[in-house]
Amino acid sequence: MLALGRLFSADYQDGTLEQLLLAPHPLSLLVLGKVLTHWLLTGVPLVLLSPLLGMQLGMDVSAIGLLMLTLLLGTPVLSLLGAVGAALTLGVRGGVVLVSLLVLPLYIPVLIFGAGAVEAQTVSVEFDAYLYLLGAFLAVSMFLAPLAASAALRISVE
Amino acid sequence: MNFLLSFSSPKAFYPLAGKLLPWFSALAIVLTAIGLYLGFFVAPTDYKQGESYRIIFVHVAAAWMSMFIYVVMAGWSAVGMIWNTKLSDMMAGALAPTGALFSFIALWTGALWGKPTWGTYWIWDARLTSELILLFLYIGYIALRSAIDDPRRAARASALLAIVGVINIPIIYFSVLWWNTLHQGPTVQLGAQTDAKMAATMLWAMLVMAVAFWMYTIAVVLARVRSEILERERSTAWVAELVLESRK
Repeated sequence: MLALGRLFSADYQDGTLEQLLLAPHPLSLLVLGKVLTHWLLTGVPLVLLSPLLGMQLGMDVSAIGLLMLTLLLGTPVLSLLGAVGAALTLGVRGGVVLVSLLVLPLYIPVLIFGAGAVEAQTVSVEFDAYLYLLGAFLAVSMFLAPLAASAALRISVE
Repeated sequence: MNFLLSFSSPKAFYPLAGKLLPWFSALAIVLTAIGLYLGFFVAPTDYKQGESYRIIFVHVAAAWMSMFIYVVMAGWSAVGMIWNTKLSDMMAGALAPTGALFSFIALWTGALWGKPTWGTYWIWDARLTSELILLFLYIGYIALRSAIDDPRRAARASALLAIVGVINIPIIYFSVLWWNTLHQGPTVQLGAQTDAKMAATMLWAMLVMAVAFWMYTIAVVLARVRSEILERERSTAWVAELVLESRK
């Protein structure tokens, strides 16, 4: 999350962002590409590291598998929502602190459902519903967040 | 519609708001007095909770308002984004501090009620946590607005944030139904039979308080929008005239 501030700021400072805005491709698609790289650098390592951390905490194999699955569904949502916050605070003073303040309330539902799935599994209750909800978050935010982020970028750059 | 639209310019809205302001303020004061009287003196003592339950007359109304104000704020933001009107942005901006205040009051009174009833001021219960999220949404909105100097850019950026944040409102509203944690489910529901669940005087006191908070919100927002209009339009001729007239 701390890397969110840098998602667009370097491009903003050297003018790349204006070129992206002028590009003939839809801006939301380009934003989605940026979000994907952010996720590859922050989300994927977390997913890959989670079994190690899970083993250190003494979780059993099926719980670790579920943990990886929830992280796989949840972390892209975090990156997508973060992009909206990063785009809104572009070039604003105190942007790094502000982006955390804006994005945290939006993160909490995702975190609750992600943690809920693992918790439900440890007390052996049905956890499918949590995964469906996480999947729904991912589907909806994959569509809407790039649109919102590109609208925010246009506001920030003009 | 044209009649209503004619008030969408700050110049026309300023005197209208000035005329409405005393009425809403008076209503707010009178209704708060009636509501508190009903709540504190008329309503019967709860057979289980004793007198401590009386905080709900403030708590429930404040919690309702905190959620509703956010929806209204997002609505004004959407109007502002679609039709690019200055006034709707001012309305959204004026609503935010009141909404934050009400969510803070709801949390605070809830904590005061929770201590004697649940035995704790705070617990990470679904409803409590989501109300806290709402408070952070308001604070984030206000922070973003004040961090951007250019009013037009601040308006559009904060409007976008308000609209994105509105997805949280149903989660907060239904949190007590979805997760069965400590906070009770809603006793008062639209269209549901409430007579059996709650004494009629309690319900009336609560509803009067809710209407009183409505009137308070409208009055405060009108006052805030009026000063905002003066600040933004300070270089226009009509404000200069207004100032000259008031000096006579």
